[in-house]
Amino acid sequence: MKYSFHERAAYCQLRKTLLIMRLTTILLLACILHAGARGTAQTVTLSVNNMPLEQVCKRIEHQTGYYFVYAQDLNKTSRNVSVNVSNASVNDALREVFSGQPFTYQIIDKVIVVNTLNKTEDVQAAKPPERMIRVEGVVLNGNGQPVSEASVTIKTTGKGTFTNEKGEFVLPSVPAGSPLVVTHIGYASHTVTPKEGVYLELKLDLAMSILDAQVVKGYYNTSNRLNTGDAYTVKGDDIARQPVSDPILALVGRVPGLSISQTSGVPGAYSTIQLRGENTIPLNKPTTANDPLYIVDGVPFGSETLTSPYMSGGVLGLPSAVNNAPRQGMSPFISLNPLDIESITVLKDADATAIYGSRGANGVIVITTKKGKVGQNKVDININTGFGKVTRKMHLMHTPEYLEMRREAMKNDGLLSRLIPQNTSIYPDLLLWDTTRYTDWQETLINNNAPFANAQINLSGGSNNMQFLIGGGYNRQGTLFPGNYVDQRVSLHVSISQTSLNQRLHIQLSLNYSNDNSNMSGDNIAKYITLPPNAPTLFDTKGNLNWQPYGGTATWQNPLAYTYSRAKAITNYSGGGVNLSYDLLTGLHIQANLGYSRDQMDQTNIIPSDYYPPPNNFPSNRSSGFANKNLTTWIIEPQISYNRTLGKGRFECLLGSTFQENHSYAFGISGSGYANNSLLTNINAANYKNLLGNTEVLYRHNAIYGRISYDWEQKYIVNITARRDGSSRFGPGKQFGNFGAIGAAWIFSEESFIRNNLHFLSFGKLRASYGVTGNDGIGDYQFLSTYTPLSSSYQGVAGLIPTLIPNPDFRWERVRKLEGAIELGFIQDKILFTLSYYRNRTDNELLSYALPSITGFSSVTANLPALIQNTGMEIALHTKNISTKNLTWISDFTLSVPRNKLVKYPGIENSPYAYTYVVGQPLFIKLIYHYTGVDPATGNYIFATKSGTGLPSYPEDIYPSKSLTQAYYGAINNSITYKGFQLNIMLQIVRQNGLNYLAAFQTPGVSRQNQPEEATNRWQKPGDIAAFQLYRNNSNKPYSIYTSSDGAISDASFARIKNVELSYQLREAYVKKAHLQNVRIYFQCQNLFTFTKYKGLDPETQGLSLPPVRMMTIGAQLTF
Amino acid sequence: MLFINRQKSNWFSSGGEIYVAVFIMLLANIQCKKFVQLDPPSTQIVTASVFSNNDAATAAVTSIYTQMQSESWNMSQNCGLLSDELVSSSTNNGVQLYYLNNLFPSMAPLPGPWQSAYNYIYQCNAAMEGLRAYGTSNSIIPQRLIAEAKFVRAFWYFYLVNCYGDVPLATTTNYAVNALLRRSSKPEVYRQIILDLKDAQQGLSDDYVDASDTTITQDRIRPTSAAATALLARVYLYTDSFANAELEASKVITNSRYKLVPNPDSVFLMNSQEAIWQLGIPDPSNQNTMDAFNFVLTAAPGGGDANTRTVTINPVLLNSFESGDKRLTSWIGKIHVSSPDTTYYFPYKYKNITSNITEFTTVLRLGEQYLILAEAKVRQNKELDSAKIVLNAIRERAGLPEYSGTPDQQSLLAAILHERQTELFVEWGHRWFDLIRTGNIDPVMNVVAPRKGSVWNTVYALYPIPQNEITQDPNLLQNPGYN
Repeated sequence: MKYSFHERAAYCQLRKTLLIMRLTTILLLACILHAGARGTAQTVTLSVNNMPLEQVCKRIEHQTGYYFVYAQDLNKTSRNVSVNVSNASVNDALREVFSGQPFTYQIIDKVIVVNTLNKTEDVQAAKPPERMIRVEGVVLNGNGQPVSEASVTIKTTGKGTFTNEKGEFVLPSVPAGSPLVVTHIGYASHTVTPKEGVYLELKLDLAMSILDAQVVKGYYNTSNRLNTGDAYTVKGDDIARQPVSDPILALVGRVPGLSISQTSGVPGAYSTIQLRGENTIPLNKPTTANDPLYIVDGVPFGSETLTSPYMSGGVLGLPSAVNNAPRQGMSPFISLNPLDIESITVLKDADATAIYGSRGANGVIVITTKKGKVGQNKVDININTGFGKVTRKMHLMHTPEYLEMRREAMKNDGLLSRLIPQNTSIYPDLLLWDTTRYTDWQETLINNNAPFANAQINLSGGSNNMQFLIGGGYNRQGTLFPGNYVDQRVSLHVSISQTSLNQRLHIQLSLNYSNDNSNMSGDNIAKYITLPPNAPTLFDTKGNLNWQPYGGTATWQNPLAYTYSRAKAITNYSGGGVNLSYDLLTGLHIQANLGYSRDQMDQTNIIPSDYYPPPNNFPSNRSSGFANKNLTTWIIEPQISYNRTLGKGRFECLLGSTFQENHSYAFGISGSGYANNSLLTNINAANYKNLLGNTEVLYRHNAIYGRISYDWEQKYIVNITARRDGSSRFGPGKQFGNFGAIGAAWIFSEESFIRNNLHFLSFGKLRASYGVTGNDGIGDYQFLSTYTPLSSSYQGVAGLIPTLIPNPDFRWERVRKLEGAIELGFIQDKILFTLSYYRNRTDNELLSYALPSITGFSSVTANLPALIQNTGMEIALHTKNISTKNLTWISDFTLSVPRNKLVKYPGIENSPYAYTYVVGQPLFIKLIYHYTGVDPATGNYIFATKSGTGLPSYPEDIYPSKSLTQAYYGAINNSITYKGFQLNIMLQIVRQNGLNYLAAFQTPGVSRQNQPEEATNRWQKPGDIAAFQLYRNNSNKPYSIYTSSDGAISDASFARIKNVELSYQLREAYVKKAHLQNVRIYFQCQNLFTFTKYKGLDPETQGLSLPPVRMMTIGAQLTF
Repeated sequence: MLFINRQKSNWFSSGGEIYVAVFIMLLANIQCKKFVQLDPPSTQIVTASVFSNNDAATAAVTSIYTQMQSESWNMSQNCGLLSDELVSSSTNNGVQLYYLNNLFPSMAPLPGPWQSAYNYIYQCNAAMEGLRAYGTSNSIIPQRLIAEAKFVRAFWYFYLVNCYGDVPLATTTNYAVNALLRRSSKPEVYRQIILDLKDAQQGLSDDYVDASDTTITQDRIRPTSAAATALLARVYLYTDSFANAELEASKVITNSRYKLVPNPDSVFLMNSQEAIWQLGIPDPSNQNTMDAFNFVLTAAPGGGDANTRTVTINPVLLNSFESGDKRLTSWIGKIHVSSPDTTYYFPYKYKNITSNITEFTTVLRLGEQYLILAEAKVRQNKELDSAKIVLNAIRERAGLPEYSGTPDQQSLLAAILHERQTELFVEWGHRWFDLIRTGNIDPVMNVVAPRKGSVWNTVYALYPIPQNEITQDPNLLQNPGYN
């Protein structure tokens, strides 16, 4: 016998404990039913004939002081009793009384519990008794480590037990010959038929099937098979396939319901991320209000940019305090190394997110980093390098067309007479610059090589009780702009898992550190691609910036002026999480998650005087700015959980609490009046210092939550979550809110009538969930009336200005989420299909209610009486098309069809949104004029008007446009493996309407802005039918109306070959000779090709933003 | 519902279940209200503490002047471009659209001072409410600050009503009320302005005070009772209440504190004897007034997208000066560019573009009061001789001979309005508002607009109301011609 006496005792003890529990419940009931029975004797004297059993029991109670506990219907099934005993012991008397009755009884202390003999026992009793054997064993994983809480079930009876923390189990009576089924989340199930007297040692293999893969569902894990909620996991391998430095960009198209739009191709650019649409009116809200919650190794990760609100992030823009699309500033996710990520799980519905409460109102994205595995220490090196090019360019006018446009515009406005030397500074393109020059500014400014390099080294290994992984990474990405501008990241990841020798204490530690250094500077160069094609040379003959001055004043903004400025943004991120858990008993754990993270960005912006065009390039104009912003989060989460079998199922419960604090601090200072350019980095050398701003914000979140789940035979599963949340963002008395969710699943393929009849159906599940959660996605301290100091003083006293219009009365926003889904597996799960439908409804929406400036401010924080609905359909299809020894072909298809609607808004006509939104329409509409073409008589753009003539008037002539968002989006991913070769191709599909590129242009001819070549198709004389209005030199109303009409809206759909990876794994024989374990070489490409009808740069970034970069790299991975 | 066995574990010896029970109860009960109740942010001050402290309350009022630094330049440049005072060389929307009288509701930046004016008005209302609720009762200071807030509120309503016509009248901080305001008629707005100014006349000090609100200082950078009187005189003139205008302007002119500065070069210096109210330069600053910074040219005016140093003096204004006018040489600067041979003229009332501070932005000055007095008398068609004397005081300072035209009402009025053109040019929009209130706007603009390359329409006399306001407040109606 391998197991100790102690453990056997433990098993028996556990059984006893459970029994006691059950009895205690019954006891409590008994007290209620049978209060008042009294007696003292310990012997029984009875002489009855054909007396009902209940009366007999009562007599015994009176004589002995024992209590009977039985069901109400005792009389219905009992037979009458005839018995004659005198001074018999209680035991003897009962044996007599109950002989021949369909009951069993049990004496516990002074309680006699009467139970119905159940039918199965009846049946079994009828059958010849089966031979029962005692089975003991241990369950281990592939590394030889014990697997605790694996369920061991006797197939014939459905009864079973769980393994303890050492992986051991004991089943005292198993029908001989009955197989045992061992299952555990994350492992493939294992069936074995035990033999008597043989100690079982079972090895579980990691689940290879998608259905049984582990799903990290917040504070607990489950598998896709048993999940009652909606969670979608992207594996680290799929992330590593993509040459991107921001891990979020690796999720594009991969998760149904998750829409990610890149706002610019500049490294570090912030993406717009929406999980299942907009739950909120997107105007005037903090940029992060609709963001999902990000959790990295148990620690919340701030999704707001760290670019200082006081200083622009240069080409990445100045972050705005409220929602702005596209987002500005640097993506905070640049701090995370994609190659450190083991998996990213996206939790979507109420059931999956409820455990996170209000923080998860917009969904949760759980990022889990890599952990070490048991085995020999190994070193894994992965290096790749390549470069990026612009994905798309526009067709713009050449010099002759441009000059013709400018002259014709002046002619049309009767201004040709102004083309005289005195006006040279106004019309330098016509009067001063070389009219024979031509520069393709797109080629010059945004199509340089953007270098990319990535190197990763991981050292990992471990014994049964301790595993570790230490990883170091380096990433470097340049820009398409001229100049040496790069974003470099060095990162370090450490993970240590330790289990105590008695297997009770588990410690999981993970540390992430990264340092990102970006010198991305100055200006958004992309906006200069519309410079006149005859604009001057960039440099003069001496190699200095050419300003082509006239009368001492520059006649153009040299786009390379930014190269004279120097910028630095250094981000230091450190995050650490410790999970301590202790197994008090089998099934009972206490644990604590402790986490801390700090993300800080330090920015420097240096502007020497020669950055400015003459005459502003005087020495005192040199300046510099210094800013920093940091975000510190700590979290403490004590929890207790209890899991056990109950009946034929598994019962789990969890009780926990969260304390979280976010502290953010921002500071900025600028200096000017430097004596010379070399002192610009030291603020002390500035004659004038100006405090740009200084804010400190604290946010606290507190919650208590519980979860109960029951899984009956892996067939019927119910999961209930309740939560009470408190947030510091609300005023006194309004801080707390109660929320909860319920999820249920029915795995109907486990029903015998399905299993026996529909053989092709290997898996079938119906699930549904409903829940209510709150949202506090609004700025901090909005309920307080405060003044903020100004940095400058008047009469020697620093000024004070009101911070905002306070509103002490706003309360929790409420989101109600409903989801239903069907999940199917066919032909041994070769085809897996999920179809889900969701409906999320938000009311009491918290927002910065837009106000007219008459009120003094542009907004106030309040609850909006509107009801916003997001519904949608999501499909995920996974097929194993070919699976042979040498060739496999796997396809994944995802499709999301989101719909958004403003369901209700009483009083919208008297609200600031009266002309912004329409009840019954999506939030993504715009109220605009209807463009009808170019008037052949006048050459002006014309629009539909109610009056039938003239220019349209506001608001009479506006109407709701098409929804400016995705109608549907999805992706097809194919993975083909042939021997050592592997090819992955992902095609991303987006069907959407968007602002076309014309909205980004001014009236053709009005300024020195080059125009699309198409604009040559303009009206010139009465009768012309043209696509563009006549050229104008003055800004004019028809054109400004045009840019806010449906003429500026068009189809921005696209299909993009998002990612291609071709790799080759060297044959083992060669690899072994080189004393290596594994060698793989690969080619990767991101954004290879885009199919679209969108005119302009790119349908995803739209307007004049830099399109996503086509990045191509080659690399190698070595393991030894 | 959890049962722990007593004899179970080594670690978990007798009494173990109590620990677990305590742990669970802790979990259940640590729903700390305290934890989520935070102190106010360290970088802000709660409103009640601001107004219960005289120093902080003063800072809350005087910070409005800090914020007003660029208003003089904004108002002067925009109204100068709209009228016949300035020429734009820039194609920047914020500059060229004014020049071409081509304002529209959704233009960016927003048309006119709407947004900033209402923000100042909010701050005035907040200060009044805060001081009434929390102000120290045993001190005169809260009353003075309330009077100051009323003065500033009246000042901005004056500019709103003249830029936009009828405007909503916000006199509280209650956003629920203000967000749905209708436009009050011009007379209603003026009634409020006059009420506020009369209160300010009573409540403000006669002396210029420093940040203590009581200590007298040389800097004329806080409004006084005389400032309220001076603005009241202007308001009466604009509302055709000429007897009152005469009365109020006389009060200022006879106040021995104020004298016309003989040398035009010295009028706009800090603490000039002519200044009734100036805006001090906030500290720290590496420049003098925004007017000097943005108007004074050191090279050819910027074209293209530039939005500062892009304007020059309109030839109409240049030609309106009589020969020998010292203001032409003193208040208009010129720069000569050799290739090609061009001379640019620019506003030069404020001259200092160095960092050594010598000038303050003048908001109200005695020169205007003389012209108000003269005009008020002439409009009443009484004491025309006396009006002539008042007018001549201004002409004399400009180095011009005494008025020699016919001394009838019509001629004198024309002379005074011409004097206003040359005396008050590119200064807080005087010319533009004069054209509107005297009804001269159509004849003047019908000549000027075509020279600017645009077509004049009477409706352009008023600014459009920013589109966003119309969108946010369903009760607001746009000015005619801008729909």
